[in-house]
Amino acid sequence: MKITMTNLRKMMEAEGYITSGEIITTVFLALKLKKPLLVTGPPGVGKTELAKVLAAIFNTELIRLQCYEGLDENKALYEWNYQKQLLQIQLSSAQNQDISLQKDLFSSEYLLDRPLLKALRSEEQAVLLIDEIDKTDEEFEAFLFEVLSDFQVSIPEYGTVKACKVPVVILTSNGERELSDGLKRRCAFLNIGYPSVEKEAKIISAKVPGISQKLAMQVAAAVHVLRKELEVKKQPAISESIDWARALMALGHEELNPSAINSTTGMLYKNQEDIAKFKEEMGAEKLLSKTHTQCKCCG
Amino acid sequence: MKKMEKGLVKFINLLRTLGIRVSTAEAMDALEALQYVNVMDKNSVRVALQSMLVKEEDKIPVFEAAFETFFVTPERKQEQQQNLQNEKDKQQQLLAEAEEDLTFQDSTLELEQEEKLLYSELDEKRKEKLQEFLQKSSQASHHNPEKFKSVLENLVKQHLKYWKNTKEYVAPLPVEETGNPELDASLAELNNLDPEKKKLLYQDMQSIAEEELPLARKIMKQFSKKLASRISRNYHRSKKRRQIDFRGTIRKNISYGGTPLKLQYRSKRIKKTQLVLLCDVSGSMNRYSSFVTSFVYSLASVLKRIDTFLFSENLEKLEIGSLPQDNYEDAVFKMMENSKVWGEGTNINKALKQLLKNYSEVLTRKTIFIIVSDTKTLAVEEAAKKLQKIRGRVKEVIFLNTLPKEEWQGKHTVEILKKSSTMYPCHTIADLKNLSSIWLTK
Repeated sequence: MKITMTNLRKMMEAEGYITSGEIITTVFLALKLKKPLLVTGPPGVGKTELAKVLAAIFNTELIRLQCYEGLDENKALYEWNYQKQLLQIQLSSAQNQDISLQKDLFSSEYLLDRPLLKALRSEEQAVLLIDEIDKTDEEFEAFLFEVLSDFQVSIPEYGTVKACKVPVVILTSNGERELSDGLKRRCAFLNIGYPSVEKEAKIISAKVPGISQKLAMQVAAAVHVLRKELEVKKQPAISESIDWARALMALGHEELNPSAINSTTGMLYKNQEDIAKFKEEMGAEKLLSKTHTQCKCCG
Repeated sequence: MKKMEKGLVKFINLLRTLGIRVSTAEAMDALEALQYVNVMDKNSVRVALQSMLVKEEDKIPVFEAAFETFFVTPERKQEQQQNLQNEKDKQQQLLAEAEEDLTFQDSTLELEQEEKLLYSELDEKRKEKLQEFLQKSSQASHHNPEKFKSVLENLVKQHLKYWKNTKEYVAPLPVEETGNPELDASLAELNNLDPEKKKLLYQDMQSIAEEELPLARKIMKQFSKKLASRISRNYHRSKKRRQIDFRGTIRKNISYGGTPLKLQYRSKRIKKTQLVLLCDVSGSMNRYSSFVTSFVYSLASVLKRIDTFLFSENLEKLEIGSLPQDNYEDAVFKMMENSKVWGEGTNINKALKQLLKNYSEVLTRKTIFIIVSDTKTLAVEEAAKKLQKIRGRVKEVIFLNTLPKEEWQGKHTVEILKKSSTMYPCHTIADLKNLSSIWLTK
């Protein structure tokens, strides 16, 4: 499939990923230049979703590596199947067979693929998502360099495994720590921020089937007001807007009103301190009046 | 294409001058990316260059300002160069005026160019006041006019420096001219941005301001975490697969006739570091008070095993560990505010003496000793000796100097204290980032 900027936008929209031209251009360039794409931004703005959408577009498998502190190459890249190797040794000695350690025991038959190796050995071009890379240790980041720049890995006992088809690599980071220059240099960079009210309303409409345009717009405008005016520990992201819209729909609300807001605050803020701050400093009435000023369809 | 390459190289140089690190590989990626977008569409070019050249979120505003200034029509470029020339002429005129105004008994005061320009930025009222003072000094009789002139020069310098540190002053971009007229014209244009935008450009080159504290805290937390969990060379048994534990593996697999079917692993032991933090809260550190409080808080919130002391002329121990956990941040800040030692003169020597006398048990081979100060202290030689003594008893002495790095040169107190500690500048966000990255790679 020949990728152009126009058909990439169309395909992403068809998958319900409504986005800006800036994001489309960056993704397009990463695909064209065959470079990993490092995506940053606050939680819930659609970083992980981007990889899922790309996998859907290319109709390929999404191979996901969820990063955490202490992640090492055994869990990310490969491991030898020790049990199988030992059984083979015992079987060979029982049958008085000669066994060449290097040739027979360290072959692909005994290699257990972990996400990175799986992405490289995949015969179809896979989408590899390395999620929350900022949660790993620096040593692991350095270990990724070979995979990200040459799309190959060196396994001491086996040799070098080169990618059959260069995978589409998406790395996400919430910015918990600074990533190394080496890693950043190897990637194209995309920072996803919160969208405009109109764009967010479009996203809500695409993700919440059956929602009226008015409610989608009101939800987007209200969340926009909250992000701008209320300083809390965790700002409501796009995913919270979608959850909120779904909750409002489930409760049968056609439009925002104080009681609807009060009964669904838990969808916007996920900790008690933020909810208390919302009630104290904003409240449903004030939010509604500010939303009406902001929202075009409420005018 | 040649023209595009040349333009791109110049633009990358501009970015580098503004503090964005761009490698040759990234420059080549950017050039390749331009082949896939419509180069007649400015927005596409901006996105293509941004995605390949800027890899940090906080540098995006710098990139955008540079892009808007650099990629302009030839007419606008010419206008920029003309503006630069006008700016230079104006600067010469301002320097001449400053030299004329700042005299003592008809002889011009010896001031740096930067100081003369600072003078020209003063409002008329301040200028008049300064001139009046110089005039009165000129008219009075002096035994040794030459000596008095140098005293006067120092006074004027201090006055200008004081004004520089006030909030009213918006400093020019701390970048040097490149010698390339095109780039210098762009830099001059960036210098003329409104103060708010300009602040974004060099936020990490200025001293840490109130609004940057959250960022500073974030970096400090990273640094604190790293300090708290420095990896030791010792291994301990663990489920994390780091290194095979042979003894454990054999023991575990005895039931399989010694065949190692189940492997046991060992991973690196986290060293339990004891931290001792000594914070200077004397008068000269007033400017950094919010930073110091934040620093103490960041460290204390990550590390529970920390002994914190505040000092100016005397030493005071902060009992942070006993504070209620529910409103920890406020409690730490309140406790520091109520300290008796805030705002006195500085005497590191006296503080270290009290520490050695009353709290010597906190100084062990496992201790990392951190001192935050601007080094402006009485009895610096004595202080350095005490610090040396402490260095011999602890694992490491880290001196976080809040004085800007460019002021270290020739400063006696810095020279002396540097010999007894590992000193890092700690004045700007860039310094903090640097400090954090040094520790991350340790």
